[in-house]
Amino acid sequence: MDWLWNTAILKPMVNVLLWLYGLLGNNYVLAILIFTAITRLILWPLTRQQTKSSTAMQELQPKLKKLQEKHKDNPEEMNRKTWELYREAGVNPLGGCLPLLVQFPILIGLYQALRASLAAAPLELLTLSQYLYPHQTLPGWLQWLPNAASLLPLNNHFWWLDLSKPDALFILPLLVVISTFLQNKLLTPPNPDPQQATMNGTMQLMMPLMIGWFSLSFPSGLSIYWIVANLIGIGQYAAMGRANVRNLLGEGPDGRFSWRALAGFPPAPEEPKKRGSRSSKKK
Amino acid sequence: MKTRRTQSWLIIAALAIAAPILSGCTGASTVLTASWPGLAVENNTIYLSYAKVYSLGLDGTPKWSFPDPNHQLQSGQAFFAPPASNDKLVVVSDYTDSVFGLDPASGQEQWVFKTNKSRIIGGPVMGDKYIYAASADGILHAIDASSLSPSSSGEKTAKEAWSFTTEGSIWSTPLLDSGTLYVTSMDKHVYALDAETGKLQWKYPDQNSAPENPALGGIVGAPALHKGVLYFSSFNNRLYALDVETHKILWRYTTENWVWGSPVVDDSTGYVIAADLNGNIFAIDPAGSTPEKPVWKVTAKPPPGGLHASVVGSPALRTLADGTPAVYVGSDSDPDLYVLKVKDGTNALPASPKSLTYTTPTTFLFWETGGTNPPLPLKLYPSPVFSDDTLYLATSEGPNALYSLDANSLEYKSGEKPIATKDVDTALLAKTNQPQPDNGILGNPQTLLFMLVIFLVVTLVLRPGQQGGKK
Repeated sequence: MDWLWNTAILKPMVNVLLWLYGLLGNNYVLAILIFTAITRLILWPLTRQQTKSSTAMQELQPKLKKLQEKHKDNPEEMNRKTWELYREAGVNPLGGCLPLLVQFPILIGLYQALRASLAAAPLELLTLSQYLYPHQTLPGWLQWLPNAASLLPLNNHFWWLDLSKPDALFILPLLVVISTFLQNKLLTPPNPDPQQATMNGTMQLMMPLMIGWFSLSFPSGLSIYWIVANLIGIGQYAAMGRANVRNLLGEGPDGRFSWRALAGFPPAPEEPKKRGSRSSKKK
Repeated sequence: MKTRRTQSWLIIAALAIAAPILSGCTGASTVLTASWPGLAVENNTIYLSYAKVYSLGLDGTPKWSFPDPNHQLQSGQAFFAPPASNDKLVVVSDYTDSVFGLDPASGQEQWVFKTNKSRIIGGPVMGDKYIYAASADGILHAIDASSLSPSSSGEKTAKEAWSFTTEGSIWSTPLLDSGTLYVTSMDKHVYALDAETGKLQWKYPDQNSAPENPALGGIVGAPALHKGVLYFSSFNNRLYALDVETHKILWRYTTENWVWGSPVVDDSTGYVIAADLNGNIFAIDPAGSTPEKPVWKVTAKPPPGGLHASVVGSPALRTLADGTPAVYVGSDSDPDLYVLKVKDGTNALPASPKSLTYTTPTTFLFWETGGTNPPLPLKLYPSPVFSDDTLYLATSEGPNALYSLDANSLEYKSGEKPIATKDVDTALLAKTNQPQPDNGILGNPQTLLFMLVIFLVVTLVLRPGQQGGKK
C-alpha cells in the first residue's frame, strides 16, 4: 500500500513541487502558492460538483423533516418517500461523497509532499532523497526541468520565517485561525434549528482553534499552505456565488451585532424568571 | 434530548482526551525520530547519543545518562550527534540550541553554550584550545570553555571565542587538522579556517575556481584529509579530491546517488573508500591511472520489493589480526554487515557478510499473541565503532539500540541480549533506588494551556450553565 501511495501520489507531488521551486527562482513560498493553485484548479470540477450536491441537499432539508415527522412510525414508507423526493429533485445524497473521496488523497498527498520537502533533519532529508526521480532517467522531453536533487536543501527562508520551523512570532498561526474561520463562516449558511446551529457554531469555532493550535508546532511552510488553500477556497466558492458575506456581519435575529451570532450560535435563551421576584409596583 | 449543558461538557471531555493525544502528533515528539544514533568509544567508555546521551562500559553496563534519569528532555530536545571526548570532558550537542560540557565520570553538566536557537546536527570536535560546533543556521562556533560565567538559570555558560558564518546550513562535523579547520556546508562550499582565529584561509569553489559540470550541490558529510588531499562528496552525485595547497580539483568520481558519510582513506594502500545511498561500496585508487573508475565495487542487496539499500554512515577501517586492511560497512535495509578487503573488495572474514536481524512479537491491537514476526534487518545508519577486538553497532530500529560483536568472528558478544536504551535509565535509577519519574499526560504545560483555552471559550460562548430547548 505504501509503495502504491508513494508511486502514484507522493513522489509525483514532491518532484513537481521541487521543479516549480527551481523554475521560480528558488522561491519556496511561490512554489507553494502555484502548486496549491494548480492542485485546486485540477480539483475544481469535483469541488463544484460536491458543493452543488451539498447545497441541493440543504434545500431539501425542510421537506425531508416534514416527511420524517409524517412517517415517523413507518420507517419503510419514510425511506420510500425520501428516495422519491431525491428522484424528483434530481439529487444524489451520495453525490457529495465521491468528489470528497477523490480530493482527500490528493490533499493528503499535497500536505505530505510539502512536509517532506521541508526536510530539516537527517532522516527527513534522507527520506526526501528517496522520493526524487533521478534526472538522468527522465524522458528527453522533460530534461529541461531542473535537477531536483541538486536543488536540495531548499532555501527555507522567507521574510522573518524559517519555513522548516514554526513561526516564532505566532503571526502565521493567527492567520491560520482567521482564514479557516472566514472560510467556514462564509460557506456555512445559518441554520434555523437552534440545536443544529449550536453544533455548527461549535464546529466553526473549535476547528479553526484546533488547527491553529496544531500550526503552532507545524513548520511555517505548512501554515502558509493552509492559509493559501483557505484563500483559494474562498475565491472558488465566491466564484460559484456560494460565499455569503452577510454571515460575517454577526447579525442576530433582531438585526443587531452579537458575538454569539458571529460565532454561529443561536441567541442565548432568556433566563427564566424566579418565583417571588419583585415586579414593578404601581403607585 | 440532550441539553446544551450536556453537549458542552461532552465537547470539553472529548477535547480533554484528544488534546494530549493530538499534541503528541505535533512537533515535540517528532524530533525524537529526526535522526539516527551517534556512537563513539573513548577511554574504555561507550557514548551513545539517541534522544539522550548514554555512557556505558564496554560490556554495556550503564554508567550515566544525560539529562539524568530524573529529568525529562525539554520540548524539542534530543541528542543524536556522536559526542567528542577526552579524559577530562565529554562534549555533546542537541537539536535545540545547546552544546554541553559534561564530566566523563558522572555525566554532570559542567557548562553550556547556546547557539542562536539553531540545532547542531553534526557533532562537536575538541581542539587544544577551543571546542568547535557548527549549527544548522550555517555558523561555526569556537567555544572557549576555559572561563565560565554564571547565567540567570544558574548554569555555567561558556563563551564564544569566534564564529564564522557560511551561507547555508552546516550539518557536518568540522575536521581539525594541524591548526586548520575544514568545514563543509550546504551552501555548496568547503571552507578552510584558522582554528585559532577563525580567519578564512581559503574556500572552494571561489571566484578563481574552474566551474564544475554539473555544479556542486549541497555538502552534507564531513571531509576526509589524507596527504594534502581533501576528499568530500556533494549532492551532485560526485566524490571530489581537492588539493589543499592549490585548491584545485584533482579528480572526481561519479556516483549513482549521494554519498552521505565521509569517505575514508586506507593508509596502507592509499585507497579512498566510500559508499552511496544506492548501496554501492567502492574503492578508488588516487594514484592509479583512472581514479574516475573504482578499483572495486560491491553493492548491498536491495530489500524485497525495494530498489536499493542505502549506506549512510562512513565505512569503518580496521586491520585484521593477520594484518589485512579491511572495511566494515552496514546499510539501512540489507541485513548483511559486509567486511571487505580494502585491496580487492572480497570478503575479509569467513563470517562475512554477517546477517543481522531482529524480531518483534506478534500483536493484536495492543496485546502480544505469543508469536514472532518475520525477522527484520537492523538499520545500521551510523558507522561501526571498534574497541580492540569488539565491534559496536548502533541501530534505530527494534527495541534495542546497541549491539556488540566480536570483530573477527562477528559473533554477538553481549550475551543473550543487546543493550537497550530504554533499559539504561531504568537500570540507573535502580542503582540508586529511585522511582521512575512520571509526569503523566497532564505534565505537559502546552496541554494544560490548550485545555484552559477551550474551557474558557466554551463557557463564555456556550454558557453551559443555561438550559437549551423549549421551555
